[in-house]
Amino acid sequence: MRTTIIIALFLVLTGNVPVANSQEVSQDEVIVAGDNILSTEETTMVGDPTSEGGDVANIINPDGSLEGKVQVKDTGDGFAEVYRSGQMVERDELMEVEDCKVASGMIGRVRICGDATTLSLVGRPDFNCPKGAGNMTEACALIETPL
Amino acid sequence: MADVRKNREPGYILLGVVILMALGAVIIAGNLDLASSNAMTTNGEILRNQEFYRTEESLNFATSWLRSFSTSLASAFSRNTFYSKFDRTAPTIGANDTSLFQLPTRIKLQGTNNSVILANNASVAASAFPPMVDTVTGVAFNPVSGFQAASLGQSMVRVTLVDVMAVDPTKDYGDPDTGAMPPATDFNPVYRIDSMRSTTGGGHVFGYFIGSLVFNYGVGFYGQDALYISQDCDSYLSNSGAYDAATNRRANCATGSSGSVGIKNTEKVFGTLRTTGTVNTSNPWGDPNQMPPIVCADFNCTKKGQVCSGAQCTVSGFGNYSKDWLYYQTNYGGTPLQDLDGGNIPPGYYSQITVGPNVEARFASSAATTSTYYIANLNLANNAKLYFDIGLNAGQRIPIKMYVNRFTGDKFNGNQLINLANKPYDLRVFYLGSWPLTIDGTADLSMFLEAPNATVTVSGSGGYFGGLKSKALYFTGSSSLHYDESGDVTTLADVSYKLRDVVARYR
Repeated sequence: MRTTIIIALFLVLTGNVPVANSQEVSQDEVIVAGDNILSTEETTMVGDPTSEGGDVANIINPDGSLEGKVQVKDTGDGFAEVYRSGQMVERDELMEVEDCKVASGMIGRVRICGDATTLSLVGRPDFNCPKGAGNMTEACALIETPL
Repeated sequence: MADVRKNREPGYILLGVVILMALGAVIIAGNLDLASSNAMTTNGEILRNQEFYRTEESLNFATSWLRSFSTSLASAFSRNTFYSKFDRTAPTIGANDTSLFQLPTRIKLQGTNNSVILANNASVAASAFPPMVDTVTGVAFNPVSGFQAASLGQSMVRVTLVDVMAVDPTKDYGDPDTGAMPPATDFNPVYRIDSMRSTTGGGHVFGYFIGSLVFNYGVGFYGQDALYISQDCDSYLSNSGAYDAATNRRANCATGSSGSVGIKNTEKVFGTLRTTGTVNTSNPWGDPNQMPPIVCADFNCTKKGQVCSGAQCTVSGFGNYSKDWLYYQTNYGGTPLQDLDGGNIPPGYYSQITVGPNVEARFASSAATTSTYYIANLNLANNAKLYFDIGLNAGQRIPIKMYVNRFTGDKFNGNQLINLANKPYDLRVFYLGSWPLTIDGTADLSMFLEAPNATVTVSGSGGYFGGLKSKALYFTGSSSLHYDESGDVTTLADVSYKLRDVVARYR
């Protein structure tokens, strides 16, 4: 009896008593799993994401409207007109610069060299406005320079 | 009687000692096993931690790289580019995703079965990503070579475009290659970033990197040296109708400066604030980086609007002026003059225009003329009214441009320049002088005004519709500012990201 007590005492003192529901650590076990451990919650939404415009948008809407589309028109009598969404928003006089015609205004600078029309927005990249039917260009789009 | 006591049995003690020794050995063996297990567990834990930190480090490097090149990774997701770069598919493994670790994606490179992947190690996947154009500089950018050259730590990293989400799903009509109409919306990219020590085992961290496109609405209100706003500011599209606070106001008021800016801490800018200078946060000016925000992304003001300050920010400033501007700056004194009081005033050059008290005068545009007025001195008496009649050409409204070297008294108000019946961009005023200009009164104003040489102060209780750029700009009035987005051009500028649902595993 005493021997049994001594053995039990040893086991308790050495911490070798089995405990219910204990688990061994497996090296295949998920270490950390969960949501947003490294999430950054900085604000990302800016303004109204459904805004008209976008990337000087070349849009053909179901109703045939020209929402967001930016085009340039050479009137042929000395003016460049900038259209947005089909509406003229600025009209500037063209001046001859070398072999090109240039007009500058609040929105930006229009440069017409032969069939090539460029719209340089103030503080932003240049946009190419492909030649369209008549004297109105197609929708202007960001110029992609070769890699 | 014989003594029947038994002698003590000496071997009994020996047996006890043996038993105790055996017990001791068992205990020692158990402790050794426990110590061994603990050592192995500790070692495994250290190994896992090291693997985790290395993969986490690489994941963080990858997210930083994507953020650093955000303006170079935006252009492909615009409405007029997306379907020329990508195809939508069912969730499938791309042909270029041939490693042991594979991910199904819903986006493929246009005309191929390749998933859109950036990888810094070929064994984790073959990279495939369309060439891009930086939306700020216009410079071409190759994401594949850029990512491979990046320093991303000690782990293999792959960035996979798993899906995109249309900003406005109702305006995504499908792939135009299949006959659908081009989309009238842009697309937010959804990437998954995987950082792993090996494709077969070890540490592995992955998370979703969700993009949100950022648009540049121009700069509606810009003060080159300083911009201080003590009035609420929102925006609207005059092409869609007159401003109505209840139905069509928008949170795209664009404000900017190349110097010091301040927004009164009791007011709100519903839109953006950008300056290459500094933000003044001394009372009564608020800190736009604190909550609740003073620059708000929406009208609930639960999210901060975009705020950028410092040399790295790009801000649209003044335009490049035409020969008219330059000519008139130096020649206005010698040009023909007409002094008119009242009536219709045709476009042309004027040394002075005087509109007397209680006199109504009218400027008009037409296709037959320049629709541009050059005025050395515009003298608007009290109660003088100058109206603007917008002519049409093939149904198109023709904006009026007005160059003014000086306003008599260096001030005007909304009862004197009356453009409210028109769109703000129907009247574009260029103020050439350097005399400080005050715009005051109780009536609303509607125009785009540019004054690159002068400090402009807008006071009074009238609202301001349109846009205003000046050398320094102070809004001190009591009404609101309403930037007319239709008078400017909106461009896709950037994409910002959130890292979500990060999981770490050890295999």
